[in-house]
Amino acid sequence: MDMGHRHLVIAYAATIAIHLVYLGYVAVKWRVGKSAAK
Amino acid sequence: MKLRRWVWLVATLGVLAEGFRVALFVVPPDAAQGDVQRIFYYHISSWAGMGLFFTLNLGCSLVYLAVRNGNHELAMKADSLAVASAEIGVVYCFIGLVTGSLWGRAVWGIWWTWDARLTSTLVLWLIYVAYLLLRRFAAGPQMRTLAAVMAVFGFLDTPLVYMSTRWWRTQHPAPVFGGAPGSGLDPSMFPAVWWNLAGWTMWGIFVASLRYVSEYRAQKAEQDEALRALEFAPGQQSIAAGR
Repeated sequence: MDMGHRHLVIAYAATIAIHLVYLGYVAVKWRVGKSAAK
Repeated sequence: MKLRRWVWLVATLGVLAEGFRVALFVVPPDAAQGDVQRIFYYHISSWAGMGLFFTLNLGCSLVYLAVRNGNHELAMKADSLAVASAEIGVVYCFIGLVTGSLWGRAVWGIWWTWDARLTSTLVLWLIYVAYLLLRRFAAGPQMRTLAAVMAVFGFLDTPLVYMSTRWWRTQHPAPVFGGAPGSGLDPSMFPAVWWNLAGWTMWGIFVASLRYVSEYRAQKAEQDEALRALEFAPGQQSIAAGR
C-alpha cells in the first residue's frame, strides 16, 4: 500500500473513530443526566 | 431514546454508508492526486459541520444573552444547545485538521504549515476548546454569561477561516466552491460530496440532540436542587415561595 492509500484509510478510520469516541462521551453524559433528572 | 431518534439514527447510518460507498468505490479518482483526493469528501463534510454548529452556537449564545434575565426556561434551553453545538463543532474542526494534515503529508510532503488557513483554523479550534474549558472549570452564576460572550467574540474567527484562502496566498488550495473561474469539482464527483455532506450533517444533528437533552436535564436538576436548598434555608421561605 503506497502512502496515498495508507493516508486515505487512516483519514477515514480516524474520522469514524473520533466520532465514536465523542458518541461514547455523549452516552455517558446521557446516562448521568437521566439519573440526575430522577 | 425516543422512536423518532432511532429512525433518524437508522436513516443517518444509511446515508453515511452510501456516502462511504460512493466516495471510495463509485466516483472516479482525481486526475492529478489519485485516490488520496478521496479524503476531500470527509474533509469538506467536517468543515461544513463545523461551520453549521459554530453558527448555531453563536445564535444560541446571543439568545441566551438576550433572555437570561427574563425567560429562564428559554435561556436554559439556549445555553444547553450552545454547549452541545460547541462540542460537536470542536469535534468536526478537529477531524478537519487531522484529515487535512494526513492529506497534506501525502500531497505536499508536509504534515503542517503555518499558512493563513491552517493557522486561523487551529486558532478557531483553540478558541472553542477554551470556551468548553471555561464552562467546565469556571464556577459561579456569571459563568454562562461569560461563556456566551466568549462564544460571540470567538465566532469572529470563523469568517476569517473561510475567507483566508481568498484574502491571502496560502499553501492550502484555493476555494473549490465559489472560487476563481475554472475552479470546482468535476460533476462526476458531486454525488460523493452530497452524500457525505448530508450524512455527516445528519450525524451531527443526532449527536448534538442527545447532548442537548443531557445538558438540559443536568441544568434543570441543578436548578431544582438550588431552589430546594433555598426553600430549606432559614429565612428564605418567602423567596422560594415566590418562584
